[in-house]
Amino acid sequence: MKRLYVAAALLIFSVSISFMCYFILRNRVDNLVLHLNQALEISENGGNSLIEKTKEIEDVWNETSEIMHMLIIHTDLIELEVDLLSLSEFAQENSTDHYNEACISSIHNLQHIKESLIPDWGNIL
Amino acid sequence: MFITLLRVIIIYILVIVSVRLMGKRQIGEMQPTELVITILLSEIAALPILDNSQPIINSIVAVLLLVSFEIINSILSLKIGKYRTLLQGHSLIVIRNGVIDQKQIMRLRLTVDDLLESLREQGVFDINDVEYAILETNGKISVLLKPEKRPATPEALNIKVDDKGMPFVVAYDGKIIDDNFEECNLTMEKFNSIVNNQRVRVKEILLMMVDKSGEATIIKKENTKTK
Repeated sequence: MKRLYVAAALLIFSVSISFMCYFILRNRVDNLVLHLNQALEISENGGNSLIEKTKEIEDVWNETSEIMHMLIIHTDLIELEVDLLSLSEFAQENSTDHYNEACISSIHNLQHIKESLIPDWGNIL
Repeated sequence: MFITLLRVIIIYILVIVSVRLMGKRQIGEMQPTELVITILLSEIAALPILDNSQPIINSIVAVLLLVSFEIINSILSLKIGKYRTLLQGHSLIVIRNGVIDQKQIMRLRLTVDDLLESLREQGVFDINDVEYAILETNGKISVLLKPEKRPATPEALNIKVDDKGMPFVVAYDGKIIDDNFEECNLTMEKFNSIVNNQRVRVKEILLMMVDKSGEATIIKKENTKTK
């Protein structure tokens, strides 16, 4: 019976980790998408606070990237990382088109990551 | 490389704990499901070691889930007979009174060569000597020889044999193993008297075994430095 308790504990631990990782990652991705959408809005309206917002995105990314690298195959994050880290350069150069392009690409990548985490039949099978 | 080193340490600990949790059944004769789980575990454990871009947590969760399923499965097999039969199948008789059950071996996709090889491995070279051969659920074949071909036992020969019991290791590499004292009705006083009678010091002992009758076998270390 002792072994059964160990098995049950392991099962609960594994399931909890899976759920916890899913929710943490989903919240982090949502947060990053929200910041990117705000930056996109500022960029399209020609706002002055774009550099500060970009700095904010970089900070959020630095917090998020650690957990993302823990849970997602690293090669899947290369494009996203390159896009997000180039935002500050585009913002300083006032290269709005490139900035918007990088923002949209990052949002798409993040949405793809989020969708790939949803436990639906498409992802399971 | 440093990342690989740390990943290997984590996976190594995980695999050791997993194998330990799954129990000794894993290491001995495995059922087909156990074999599959063991192969799966090794594959899953190898992935994050070979590829640093693979998140290690995925492997950890997968290994822990497989281990817990395996333990639950083995407990259910132990408790519920029908579940065990469903999972492992039945033992099947493949030879009766020296005659191969051809229907059965066809159904099991077992060739006559395989069957003869298994018999030879058990020291049986003539199929006529076999009363029953049973294919066990772990794939091994158990053989019961015909009465006239079975090795003679003291019981059959009406010989009385003294039972000295199994000898237990009570000292090894200069250290006393008192866990086994109870098994061979030994006390520390008795141990000391045996050692003193043999004129040997504990630290000079490579192996000392004692059976239930108190008979001791002592093997001394070679080149023991004595003060």
